Amino acid sequence: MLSSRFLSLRFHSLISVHRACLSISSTHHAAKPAAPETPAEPAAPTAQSAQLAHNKTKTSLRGTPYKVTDIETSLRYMESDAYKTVYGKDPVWKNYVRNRTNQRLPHYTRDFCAEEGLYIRGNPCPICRDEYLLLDYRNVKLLKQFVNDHTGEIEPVLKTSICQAQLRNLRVALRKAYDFGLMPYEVPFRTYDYRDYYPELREEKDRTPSLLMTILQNIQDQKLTNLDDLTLTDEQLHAT
Amino acid sequence: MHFKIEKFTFCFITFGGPKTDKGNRMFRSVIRPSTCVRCLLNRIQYSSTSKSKSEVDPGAVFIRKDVQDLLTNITGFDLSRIFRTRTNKNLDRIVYKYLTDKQLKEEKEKTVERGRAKLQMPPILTEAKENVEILEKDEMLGGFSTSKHLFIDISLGVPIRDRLIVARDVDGTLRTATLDEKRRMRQIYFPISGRELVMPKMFEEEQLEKILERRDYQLILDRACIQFEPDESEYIRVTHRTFEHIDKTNSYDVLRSTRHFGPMAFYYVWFKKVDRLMSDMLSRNLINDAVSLLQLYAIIHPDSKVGTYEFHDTNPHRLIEAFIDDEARIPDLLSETFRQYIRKNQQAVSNG
Repeated sequence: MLSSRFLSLRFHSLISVHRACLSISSTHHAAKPAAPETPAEPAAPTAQSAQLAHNKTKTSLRGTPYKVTDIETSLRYMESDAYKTVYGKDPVWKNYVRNRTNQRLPHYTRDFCAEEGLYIRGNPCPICRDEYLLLDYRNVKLLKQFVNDHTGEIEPVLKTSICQAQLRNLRVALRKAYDFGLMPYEVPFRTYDYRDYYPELREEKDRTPSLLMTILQNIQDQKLTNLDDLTLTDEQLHAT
Repeated sequence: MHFKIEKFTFCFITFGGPKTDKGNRMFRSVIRPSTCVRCLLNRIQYSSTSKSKSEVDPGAVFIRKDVQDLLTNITGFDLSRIFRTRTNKNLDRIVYKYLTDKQLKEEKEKTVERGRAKLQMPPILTEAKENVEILEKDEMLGGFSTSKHLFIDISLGVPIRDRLIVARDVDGTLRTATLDEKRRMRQIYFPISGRELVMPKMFEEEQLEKILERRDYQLILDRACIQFEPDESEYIRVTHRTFEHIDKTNSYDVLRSTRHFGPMAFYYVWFKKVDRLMSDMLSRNLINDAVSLLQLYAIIHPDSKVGTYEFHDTNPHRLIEAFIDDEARIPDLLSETFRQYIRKNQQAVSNG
């Protein structure tokens, strides 16, 4: 438990690791614990100045930009070494820990992690924290991680902890993937009644006319103009 | 006995009460079609039989008892393939039971029956032709609405495919519905779960090729069974394309012990493309299946040379050699596999 917490805290540095691997320049990421940003402190470091210096190096993702990549980069990322070093063989949500205010977690997650391109929280959900993960119908490897192997249903949000906006994206992407046939699922079995398709298999007594046709026939036979005058015998009514 | 009409049977939209003028007019024109109701009934119920001398109906051949028996023999019965692990939304706990020998035997028989039910073959039919019949022309009703109205008969106890579906066009003509309108109305009023109103994109040609490359044949064929009726042109296109791809890649074993193997074998025999399938069977030592294929060939094409073979007493080797000489399209491949089969047989005989 403690180690997983530690892993999640160390995640900021991992982002810079895979960014370097993919050799994409970043102009904005705030978590750079290696690079010193503050100018040199005065000669005698007091406890207070040490604390102030530490406060200045403390960073949060909040307020930093979140810009999702396009689908080709995301597909390349899923196969890359960067993905393997960060996640290994686990699903994307495995090492994520939610913050809790009570002893129990609520059964719903937050609405969204980023607003107008900036993160609004310090601990974004497993998909929003990684800008190279895109929930798209073509990205089957990512979609499969959110679907249970045994049931075929979407994993509950208590387990995966993705925000509601991403959950909506996931549902849409899954529906589209089923439609395009990219994502396999269990098709229900259809039982055929051969008598519907091969009329030679039907017997005489199966050929009863429907109630509508008996009504129309009677109207034509009795030459009615008003429906209130229509009468049907009991056997005609119970023929179906 | 009097009863109220508004409760059931009709799907009229503008039918307010019998006294309204327009409603009465419309209904009267339904009562007095130019063709009488009895003839309409007969035509709707028996419209599927259309036999012309130039075209033989594959459905009539498919439903024969001997053809069905041969196809079930070829399909095989591997219980581990039929009852493979599937995802299940209603997962139950594992149940352990203590059974006597007799009860165990009964359970096994029940399993075999359930397996047989899962191997029911989807029907093979000729492609349905559109025959729109104009029941009545009434120019007085022209312009009664801005769109056409479709009506379906929702009485109880009638099979879905036999239901009467008519359309009233904007210019007042009353006609039976086109195939597309029929499909949509049936799905709206008698829906089948798993079927979409709009054709899923995976059945379009480019997407279909991608899935075929992945060799995911069962997904395509199962979904085609659910999405389409067996006589729709789309169903025929999708299934034929899948069978062609299986033929080219020699991956017949993917469909063994599934419900689709029978229709696939029927397709190959109907279009005389038996050779690769037969060589695949020979390489797997399924000589009886190969002979059953030849029997099918004789039933479906009684004019060919295979129709003259005697299947009862002759050695299966002789039959296959005769077939290689007479009707095979790729005789080299077949003779090669047959030689290897004989060699394997002789080795087996000499060893043990």
